[in-house]
Amino acid sequence: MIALKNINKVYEDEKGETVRVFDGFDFEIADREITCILGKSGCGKTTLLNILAGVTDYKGEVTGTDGKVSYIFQDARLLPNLTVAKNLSFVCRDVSREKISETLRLLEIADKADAYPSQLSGGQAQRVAIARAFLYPSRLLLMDEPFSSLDTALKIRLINAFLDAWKTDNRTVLLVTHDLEEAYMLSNRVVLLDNGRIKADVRLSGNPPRRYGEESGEKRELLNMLLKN
Amino acid sequence: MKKAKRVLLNIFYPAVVVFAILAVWAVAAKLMDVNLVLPAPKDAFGQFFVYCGQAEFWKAFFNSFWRAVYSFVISFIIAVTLSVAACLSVAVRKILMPFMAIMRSVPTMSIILILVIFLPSALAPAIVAILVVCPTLFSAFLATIDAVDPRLVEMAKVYRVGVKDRIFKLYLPDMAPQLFENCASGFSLNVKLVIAAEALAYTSSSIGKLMQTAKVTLEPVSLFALTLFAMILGVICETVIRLVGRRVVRWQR
Repeated sequence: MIALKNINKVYEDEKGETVRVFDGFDFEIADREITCILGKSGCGKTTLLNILAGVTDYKGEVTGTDGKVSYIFQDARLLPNLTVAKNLSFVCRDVSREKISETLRLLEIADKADAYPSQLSGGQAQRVAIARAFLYPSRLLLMDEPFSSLDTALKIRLINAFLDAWKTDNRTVLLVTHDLEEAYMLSNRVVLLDNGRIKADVRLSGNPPRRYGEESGEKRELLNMLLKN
Repeated sequence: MKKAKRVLLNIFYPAVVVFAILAVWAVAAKLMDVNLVLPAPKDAFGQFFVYCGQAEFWKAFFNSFWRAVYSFVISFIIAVTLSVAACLSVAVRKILMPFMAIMRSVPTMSIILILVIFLPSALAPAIVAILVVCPTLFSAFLATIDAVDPRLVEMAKVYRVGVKDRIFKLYLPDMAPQLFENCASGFSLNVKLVIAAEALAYTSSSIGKLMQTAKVTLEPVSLFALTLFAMILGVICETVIRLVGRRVVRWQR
């Protein structure tokens, strides 16, 4: 269990005014599950990820993690001067070439190992980012709207590719998204964040993946939760 | 078709521009018809080839070239060190920025005239070049470092990539194209400054001194010929630096 206790985070906006993102925020993330944070822009979703990633300062306590995290960003963030395989080695120094090849095979981009990022499509680049996240030895995987820039068909394929990789690995995942379909398809638990506070917390039945676009009572409940808040 | 287009862009158009300039020069010299003020191109090129056969000239040429090279290398090392320090420390940045701004705003001629009084004539041109070029390189390098993709920097930070890998695989490759461009322009400026300072300091066995002598003895043909040498030196060095840069950054192609 990863626990955030009494988290306080403030920053100054462009006008120089103090913005309080979190004020005594408590949150727990269950191990080996996919927890999704839903919320509108500015509610603190990305700040929460950055606190866990250690790239932003904060007051409070985070326990249950060794500080090492994998992170799948909204964009792939690959070094343009390195091949796909070398991009993965850049981050995962102790991982063998065989392991890299195996992971790329799992994500169906084994033939792109020696390609440069400029030679990849958007979906392929994001698969490399997913491979990087799973190759890096961490207990926690953070995802910041990683599928938002993709069209629906590609999104579904990539989500399935991600879940194939996750099933072999089962690390704890915290996913941030504003897409209800994505949240429903991928998560064990959905948390609605608003102005740095948890407004709703729903545990979904069964395990991911669920069918994209599927009608269900649980999804309607999530939608109502979103609309109410 | 692609090769023909490349030849057109890289050779034909520049050649047309050069010939146009020479044509304008020839017409202006003909119209003025005063060799002491504006010699004809053929006279200047004639003297150019006379110099090519003189051992004394080549000694002066290589002295000036060597002075330009070592002063540029010193400027480069100082500028890189200070720009990295400014990047790592806000305090260092705050101290260096106004200092470099002041250095850049001092008129080049003032620096030359002040330093030639106090320094040996062989050393003054190099010091002048360092004092003028180093602040320019510093600002350019700092801007280049600041422009490295912050998203990649953040990714490297999240994944705890080591400092050595960040420098050699993230920062340097991202900075390389602009770095080489800054060096090409900086070296060209460096050559001009060294020659100008040599002329004022009357540095023995140098291009600058030959130019000053040509001016004093009213030999504009020699002055123009020496200017051609300086221009060709600057262009060749800039081109070499850019070509090296393109090979280093081959992944961009």
